[in-house]
Amino acid sequence: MSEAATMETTTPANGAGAAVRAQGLRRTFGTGDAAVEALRGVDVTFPRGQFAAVMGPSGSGKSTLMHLLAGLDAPTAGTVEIDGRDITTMGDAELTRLRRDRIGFVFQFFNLLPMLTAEQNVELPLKLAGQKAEEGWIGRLLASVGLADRARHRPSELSGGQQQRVAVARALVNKPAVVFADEPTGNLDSKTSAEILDLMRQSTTEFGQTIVIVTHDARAAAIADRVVFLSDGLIVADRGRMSSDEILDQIKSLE
Amino acid sequence: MLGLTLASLRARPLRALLTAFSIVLGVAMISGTFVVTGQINRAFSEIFDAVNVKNDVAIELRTVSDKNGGFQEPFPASVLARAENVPGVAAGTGEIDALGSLVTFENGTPKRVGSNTGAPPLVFSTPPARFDPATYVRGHRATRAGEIALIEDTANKAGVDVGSTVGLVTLDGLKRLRVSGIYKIGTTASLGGALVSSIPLANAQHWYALDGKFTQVNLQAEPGVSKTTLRDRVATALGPRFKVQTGSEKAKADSKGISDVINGFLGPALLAFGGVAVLVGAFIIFNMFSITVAQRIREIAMLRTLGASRKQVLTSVLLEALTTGLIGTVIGIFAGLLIALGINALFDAVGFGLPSTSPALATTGVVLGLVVGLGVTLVSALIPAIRATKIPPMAGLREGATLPRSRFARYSPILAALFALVGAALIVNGVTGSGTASQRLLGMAGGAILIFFAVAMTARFAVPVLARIVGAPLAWRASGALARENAMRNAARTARTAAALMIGVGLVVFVAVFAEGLRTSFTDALDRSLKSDLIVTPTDQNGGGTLSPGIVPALESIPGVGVASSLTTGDLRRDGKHGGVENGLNGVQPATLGKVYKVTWVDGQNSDLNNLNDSGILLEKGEASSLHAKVGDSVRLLSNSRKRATVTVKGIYKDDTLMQNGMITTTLMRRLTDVTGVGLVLATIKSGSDPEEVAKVAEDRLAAKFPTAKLQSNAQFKKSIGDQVNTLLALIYGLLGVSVLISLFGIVNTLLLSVHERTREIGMLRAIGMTRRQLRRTIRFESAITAVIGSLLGVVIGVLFGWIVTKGLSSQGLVFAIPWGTLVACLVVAAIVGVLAGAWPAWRAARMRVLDALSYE
Repeated sequence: MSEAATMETTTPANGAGAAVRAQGLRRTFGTGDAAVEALRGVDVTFPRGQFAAVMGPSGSGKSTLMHLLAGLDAPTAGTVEIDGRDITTMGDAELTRLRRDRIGFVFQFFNLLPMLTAEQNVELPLKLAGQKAEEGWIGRLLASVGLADRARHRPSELSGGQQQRVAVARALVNKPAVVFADEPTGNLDSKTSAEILDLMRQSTTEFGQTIVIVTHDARAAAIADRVVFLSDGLIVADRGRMSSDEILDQIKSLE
Repeated sequence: MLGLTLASLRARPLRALLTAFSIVLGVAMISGTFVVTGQINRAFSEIFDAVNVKNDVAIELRTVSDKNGGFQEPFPASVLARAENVPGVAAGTGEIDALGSLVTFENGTPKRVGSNTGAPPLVFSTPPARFDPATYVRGHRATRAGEIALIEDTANKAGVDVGSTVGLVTLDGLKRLRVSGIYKIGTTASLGGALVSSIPLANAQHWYALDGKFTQVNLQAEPGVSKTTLRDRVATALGPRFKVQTGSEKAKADSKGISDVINGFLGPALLAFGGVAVLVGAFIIFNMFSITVAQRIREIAMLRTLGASRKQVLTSVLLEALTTGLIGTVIGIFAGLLIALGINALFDAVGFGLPSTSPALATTGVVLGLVVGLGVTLVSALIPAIRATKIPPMAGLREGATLPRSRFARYSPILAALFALVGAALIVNGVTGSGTASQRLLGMAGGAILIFFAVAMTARFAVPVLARIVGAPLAWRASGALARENAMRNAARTARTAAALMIGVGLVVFVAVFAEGLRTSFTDALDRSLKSDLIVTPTDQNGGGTLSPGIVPALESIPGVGVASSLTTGDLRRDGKHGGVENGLNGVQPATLGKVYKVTWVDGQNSDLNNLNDSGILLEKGEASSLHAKVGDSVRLLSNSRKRATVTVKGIYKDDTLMQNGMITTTLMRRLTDVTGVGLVLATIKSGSDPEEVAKVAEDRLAAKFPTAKLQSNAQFKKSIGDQVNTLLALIYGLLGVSVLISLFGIVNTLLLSVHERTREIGMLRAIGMTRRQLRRTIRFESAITAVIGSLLGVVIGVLFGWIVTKGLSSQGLVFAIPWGTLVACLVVAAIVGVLAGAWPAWRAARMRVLDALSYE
């Protein structure tokens, strides 16, 4: 991509409303002299159906940004809207329900409950909501991540890559407005990483899913439609699709 | 290593404290037991010292059994003159000690003072001033006929003061007396809670059929004559039939006599409960250390990679155990004081008031507490410590490492089976085998412990199934399903936690089954042999005959009452051809007994009862075999006052519930012993009369003249026996409650550790949408499932123990009966308490901030 595209921001392709919108986000930890400003005023919007990556060196605030966007943490200033609803005014119980119904998560590890089968793990958010899955939905999800024949297996019987795939399926089970993934490939070898990222890409196209991944892996970010770069608590670059080489260059220029 | 251990403990102070606490209560009970027994001993010492302070020399009749502090046999008053003649005697006096209940009058109706159980109602004759140890708080000594003086505690219990009228129950009827004074003995206002009164000597002798007699003679020495010298002189002068002691010797001997009786069973019994508490504590410590070792795999592996030897790892874990054990033990020893307060309160609550002075730590208690507390902690932590040494350095570098299985793990089912068999054998032997009572009891205790271990070792195979069943009602909701899965996922840990509760519940159920069997067999026996409709018993349980004999004709004179027959029990030694027995024998009225009581004959017939005379005896089956006697043989009888008789066996019957040991005529009983009253009266109601009406009339008529008599129908009597059993049960449950408390505490502990262990998992659950409330519910359910499993196992074991013991004792009439109410209550209470126990871990889990939990390292 050319340098001209450095500060371009992507606008919603179909104008159907943003999945996630953040305005004026600030997050400060601690008080007085020991205060640390992790985010110093971030505005960002993720439209529906976008696969976005958030990158930055450690200490850039990328994880903090994801936590705020996902309703896992509250900002010191600013607002976050998910599906048009302001989540910064919500109490803990409401936020929890929001996470259950409208948001999906994939973590780096410890995604699954060891004593439940793959099927049961995928179904977990629905069960917590007291709902039953549509006929065959779980099966479809498991099939789409290529684990239809492992539905009854426990995590200890699955490889790391297979566990992550179950995690992806679970993140999609409640058809969320957005899926947040925190270093989803951090624990996997390169081949498996590629498989997982492909899977996530697929769900964007197949289910119209919005996905935001936080990563320091340039190859992972290269799959995304859009890469947002953070440094020292601010967005310093917001580009469309980039190749992994371009991403590496961008990172180097930020250091 | 020490530094590392201490740093590790300091880093997790809550965990260290919680582990320490497991042993606190057990040690506290042990320490507390010795505090209580020490209190009782000191209390009685003080009492007897105060009572005997003015007596330089005390003279009693030496009884056949030579027990101290017990019933005193009367002797002729002439002994006083003989004693006073001994050179060196400055003064002498004769004393009467008797038993007599007090009543107060409310609107003219007599009302008994004091409770039925515990200390007896003592009546003393007022000594001459120089011999009187009492100091009068109000009023003056009872020296004129018709006067009575009360010790302060008794006056308070009766709610009377100087000038009030009280009634004294004597063998000559109820006497109305005026309270002349209220006193203390030394500084003591109460003799162990007993009712204490004093009346003039002449009254005491006349009213208790002791005219011309004394029960004790006291002497004071002339100045310059030592008490011991005087004692020896008097002993020589009176001969071996009399027991002559100095006042302080008698005080010591009497106080020891009573203390021995109480400590003989109270001390060991309380220690047994303490032992149970310690055992439960041991289970919990074992569990806690197993968990913490498993949680610190990476830490320990890292130490090994840095070069720590296996021995150093072992030392580190054991040091930690020792430190926490020491903290717990020291706290426990001091907590023993609190436990002693609790034990006293418990006994007061059920009516067995114990005498007490200020509590103080006893050396024995401290030493034993230290040894047991530290020893148990070390032993319990040993196996987890050894497993810790098996952690390979590699384990620190991988995620999800688990403790390597020990070499012996394969053999544990076999070992468990062995334990179970040996345990069962020990229990069966304890019930049916030979050996002293304490040997067999210890054997049974050991057997029970072995069985507990066996179940604890194998419980983990049952846990998945049990958890599935127990958790089934909850599984329809996410929190319930998750709780069930959590309980099942580490079956060994759930099993160990539940096992601690199993011990307490198992013992509770065992006691309940045993008591139910006692109650049922007793009521069955009553139903089988009683032909009467009414039972009259004395309300104070002391002595075998504290009802006046006049009560029999009084009953028969009531319209509607048919026949009344009385029973009197007295202590008589029986000797047959081989072997002798010494305990209570029944004195009966042969002419009327057959009409109120159905004899189950082994060798004999009803005419043998009707024709029983003063030269005959009927023996119970067990007694007959102890004496190797059959019909026609002779039996020699000997009373405490050395009166003898030889009787012939006229028949053998079977009844070890109501008519234990044997029957002789009441006349013969009175002649041999000095029992003058009756102990029990059975009466029939004439057919055609309304039983309720007759009972009511009888009650009213008796209340006036015989205020210490309680009239009951058979149904009421059975119920009152049941109530007494229930009272005893309440006491035992209270003491076992401590163990149950410890095990619940163990559940809290395990859950706290487990929640901590699952921090990241909890973070993940919260992130994907589990609310705080759902999380709390999950943990509370998990706690409840564990508790119910423990209770279930306990119920099964308790019923099993109960079955073994009652079957073993079935030859003595004990039946096996299941108290379903208690069993259901155990399960329900376990569920409720389980939920409560989970409250704190649940709160801690829900309190976690999601982000912190997710990133927990």
